[in-house]
Amino acid sequence: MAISARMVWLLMMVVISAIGISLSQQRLLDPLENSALSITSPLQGVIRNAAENISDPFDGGSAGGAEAQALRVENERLLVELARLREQLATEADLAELGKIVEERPEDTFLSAKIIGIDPKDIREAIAIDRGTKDGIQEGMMVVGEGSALAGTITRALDNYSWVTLVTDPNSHINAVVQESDTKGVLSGRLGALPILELLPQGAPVKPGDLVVTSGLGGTFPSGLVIGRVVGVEGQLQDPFKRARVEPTAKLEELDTVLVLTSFVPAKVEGQ
Amino acid sequence: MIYSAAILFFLLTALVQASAMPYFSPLGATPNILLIVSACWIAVSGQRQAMTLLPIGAIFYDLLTANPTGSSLIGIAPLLLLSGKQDDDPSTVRLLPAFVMVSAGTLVYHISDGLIMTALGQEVPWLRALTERWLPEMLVNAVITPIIFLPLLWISLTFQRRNASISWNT
Repeated sequence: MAISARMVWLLMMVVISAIGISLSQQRLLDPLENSALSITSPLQGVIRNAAENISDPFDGGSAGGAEAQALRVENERLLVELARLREQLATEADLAELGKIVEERPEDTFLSAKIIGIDPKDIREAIAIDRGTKDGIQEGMMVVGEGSALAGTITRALDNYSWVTLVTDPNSHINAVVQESDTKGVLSGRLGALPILELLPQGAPVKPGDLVVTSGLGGTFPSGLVIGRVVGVEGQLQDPFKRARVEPTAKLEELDTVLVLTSFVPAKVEGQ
Repeated sequence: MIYSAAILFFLLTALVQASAMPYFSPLGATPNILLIVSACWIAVSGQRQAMTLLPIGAIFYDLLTANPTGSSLIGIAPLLLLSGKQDDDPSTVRLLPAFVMVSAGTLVYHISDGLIMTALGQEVPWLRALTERWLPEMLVNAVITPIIFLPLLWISLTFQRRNASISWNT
């Protein structure tokens, strides 16, 4: 086949792709994506289950896996409870000291969702869930694991499905605070490594084992949501800031069901 | 009939890629069987069929993932250029070009994808992605290539023989 014919074809594909990407960005293809997922989801479920069963032996999935999973969920729950009590104590102390009235936050409500897919892209950490805008899901809502630790954020909501960007994704940036020392920083996901808590002041007393929770700064996340624990601190003395590696409490690779925090709608900054 | 079966095969490949492959990550990389099937199809059946099948598979795959629709097409389409002038001599069915297409195609696919993500304002850790994901995936995809290539070649040759025997009898 002549090279010119292939070039013409390639040019056509580039044009089609550009149009597709443009329409996709304007959300005009959302109904098509929603339909494609709706039609294929039963078959995808079968294929996914088969793949999970095949891949389990290679991943070291072994006897006692269910028990270990239950213990991990329990551990996650206990950590969340601990963080909540600490937050409550801190809030009460703040109230006593400052005499301010804390704005009443409505009781948290959650919507459970099943994970129906994992983003196959190597450099992205995202999952698809079986809840969408028809269920009241909005982009920016928090997603937590079975033990209520932060797992990610809704970044794309279709009618019946949503995509959740996990806290380990390189595009995930969360205002966080080390609960023990009240040191604030920004938690960023990294490719193939644990998320890192950046912009920690050099003198901050952050140490392995400290609990990291959302700070609530910026209004995009509620405060006090457990993210994980510090497992290591990095940085030289001469560096202006130090960094801490954080292991997420929610076991993201083992998630089957998640909860979407529907009672917290993130604040929208003008221009977003 | 053959075209319908081929389209169905590509749709199924896209479906498997979207739903099953994330669970397999040898060397930390997710194999891209859609890209491997596309490259092998070009090597076995030629470019004309691939011109129709590649866009169908790639667009369907994008609809099932969080990718902007069309981004995989732009990454997979250069396979046709990498394939050289195979249609000039349809009798030559070679595994080596498939290897070259898969290896180079994997890199081209991810670089174009990374460029699209960057253009859309997303962060791409280029160096880490290249060393920890894309280069291992090149290797993994190359290893998987014969597993897909040989059955495709067998099917293609069986069809050719059957067609030849039908035309001889008539």
